[in-house]
Amino acid sequence: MTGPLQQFDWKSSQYERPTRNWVCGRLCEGTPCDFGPTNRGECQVQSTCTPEKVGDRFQCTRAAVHGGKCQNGPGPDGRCSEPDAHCQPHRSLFHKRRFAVVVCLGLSLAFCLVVFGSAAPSSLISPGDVTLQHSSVDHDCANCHAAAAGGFSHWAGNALDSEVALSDSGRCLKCHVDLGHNPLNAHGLSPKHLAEMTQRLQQSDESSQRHGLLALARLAPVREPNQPLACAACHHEHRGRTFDLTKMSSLQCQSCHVRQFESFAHGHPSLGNYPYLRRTRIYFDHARHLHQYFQDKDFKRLMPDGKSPASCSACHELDVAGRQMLTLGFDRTCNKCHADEIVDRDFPGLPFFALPAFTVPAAPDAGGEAAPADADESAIAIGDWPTNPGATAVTAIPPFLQLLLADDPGYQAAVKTLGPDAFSHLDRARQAHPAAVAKYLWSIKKLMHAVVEHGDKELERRLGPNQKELARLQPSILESLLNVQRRWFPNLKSDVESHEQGQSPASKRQPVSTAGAAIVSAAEHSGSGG
Amino acid sequence: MRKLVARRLRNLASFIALAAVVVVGEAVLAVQLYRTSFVTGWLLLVLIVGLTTYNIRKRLPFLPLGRSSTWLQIHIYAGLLSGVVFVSHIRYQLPNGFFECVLAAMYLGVFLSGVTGLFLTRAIPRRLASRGEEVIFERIPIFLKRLRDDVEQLVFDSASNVDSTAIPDIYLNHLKAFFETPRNVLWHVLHSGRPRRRLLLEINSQHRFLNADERSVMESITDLVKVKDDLDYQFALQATLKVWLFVHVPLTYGLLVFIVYHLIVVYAFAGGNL
Repeated sequence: MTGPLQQFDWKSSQYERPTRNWVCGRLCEGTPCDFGPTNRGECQVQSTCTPEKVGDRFQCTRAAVHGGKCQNGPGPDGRCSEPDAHCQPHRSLFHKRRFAVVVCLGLSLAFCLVVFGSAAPSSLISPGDVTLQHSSVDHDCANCHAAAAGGFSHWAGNALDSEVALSDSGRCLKCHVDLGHNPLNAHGLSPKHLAEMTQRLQQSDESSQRHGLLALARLAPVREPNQPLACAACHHEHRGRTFDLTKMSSLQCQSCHVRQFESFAHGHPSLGNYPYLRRTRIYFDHARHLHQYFQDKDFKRLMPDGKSPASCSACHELDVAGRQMLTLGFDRTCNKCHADEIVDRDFPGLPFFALPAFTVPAAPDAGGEAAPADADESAIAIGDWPTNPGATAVTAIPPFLQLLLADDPGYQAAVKTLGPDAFSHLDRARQAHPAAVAKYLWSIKKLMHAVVEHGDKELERRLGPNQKELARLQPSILESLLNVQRRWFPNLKSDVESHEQGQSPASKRQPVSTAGAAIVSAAEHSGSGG
Repeated sequence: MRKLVARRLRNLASFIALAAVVVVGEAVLAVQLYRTSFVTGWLLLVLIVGLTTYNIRKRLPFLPLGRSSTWLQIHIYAGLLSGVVFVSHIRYQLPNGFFECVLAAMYLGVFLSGVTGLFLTRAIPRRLASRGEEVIFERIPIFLKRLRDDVEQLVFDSASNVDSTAIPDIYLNHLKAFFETPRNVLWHVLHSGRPRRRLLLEINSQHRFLNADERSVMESITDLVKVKDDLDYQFALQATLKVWLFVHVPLTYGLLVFIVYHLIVVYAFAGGNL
């Protein structure tokens, strides 16, 4: 067994100084001296001395701290007899690390200056490829950056200019000449126009729930809408060939806008009479739709029947005068592929108006061929009636419609005969109670006719004083009902008038354009109401 | 122990809260169309400079700058936070320019070496206390020399007392190189006892050639072999504790040079207006 290697006491344990630059050269041999080297790396050991002549003899003059007088003493010629015990001190670990720091600093500095310090900026400092659209000008940084006109010293001076991005935007405008008179203002609008819009919108009382990030963003300093923006504020370059320069999140769009909302499905301001009342604020990207979306197989699955639009007329039509090329409505164009993105999945809709499924006997064809004989037995003169209630048609009368018909004596009499769930089995009841079925259907048609004729007043009258606020729901229910009437009952007025005069209007199947058209839900109402 | 856990929980909670502030703040500023790279870049620079001051503070122990352990805790958690800020600064994607790649590689070198150092400084001290005598690293050559002298003394005594060269032969063939310098450093770092077992097995296999006196000497030598191996273990682990700083510290200063250059280029070409 051996004792401990290390002992700590004042005599045998020296004070270690690992932060010194040099250590004794004999340390690696395990026999370091007590002095250690100087800060300059010189050995302090004095094993030899310069003997002093006292009388006719030389005497050793070695100091006690260096071992005291030597045993042999100087020679008769006055030379010291001890060998030179100087060592070559070594760099300490600490000093080696500091040396590594200096080397690394020097290499980094040299790397920066040699590789990037040329008279013109090297492509090595480019933070990445520019987009494909700008790739034709990326051979010379000076096309877009004023700083690129000089070398490193020029950059250092340019770095102190806080308006570099704004002044460099002028270089963008050399090519982008079609951005109007205020290209650096939001949407190219004049500061005056922007200020007016901002003031007007700030005064409007339309408000909705705001996204959480937008609420937080309000804490940050708000940009002045009239101040010019550098192109780079919204369009970030050097992010790869395929980067979308125009890509912005809806939150970013909203950050500048006064009126903020949670999402497209929740709280988006109305689009107005899209697209005829005014030009839509949405810029349709023709190039991308024609060359990418309509060509890409991945997108074809979204299109009706997997077919992309074959010609311009798929989305456009001439006006009556044949002078203007109009855009078809949202429901006939964008809706085909984008409907799913807009549908509110959390709240798919609450039906407030629906028609019962009812099969109208086929009318005689153009050749005068009569309808089948069995159809005559149950023929009910109802005039126009949509023939395609669709798979989503409700099976029970919507409460709102029931409310509107609550005071209708014809409806109440029909329900008394047919039962409270007559809405879902009118076709079956037509054989047994044709008169009641006819009353049921006419009560709905008359309701619609009265609403078309008298508008909100009729709705309020039918809803009664307790529920008349329902008629004033926004967006307007009336607008949706009028739209429904145009699509489902184009001859409603003449049908009702004929019926009231005791004549039987010809029963006609009224084709409808879309499946499930016989139901008007709150969701559709919200979307179409715009 | 409870105090340590409380400190760690408090520091972790602070780190997570600050990281959340950075991530959410960056998202909020991005929504406001602020150039978030500038904000996160400055924040990263402040953090890196602050982290570097820890190295300077260690050289000024005589100044009343607070406890070193407090500085170390701040250094660790600020370093981890810098990782979050860095990821946010590069927009959560790999940089694609040459200079940016070099800069990112240097930062990652500093960050990962720091994390490695954190792991080592947490794992190694426990291992150091578990085996052999804890010695001051700078004195290890002295102890090596002492052990070498002791074992050689035993060998010489044996050679002079016993009329046999068995022990000197064993020493020359199997042990001399072992006692010259620290050995099996990598094995010790990997916490492997295989070289030690192999050497002891070799010594044991020589016992059948020794007489009783020589066996007694050989047992003393075996004890010294074990002490030497433990000393090598201390050397290997303590050296590891020091070597990682040879990557971490120089790279940090190199990184600062690159950052200054990056700052100039960014401000010259992209402007400083947020």
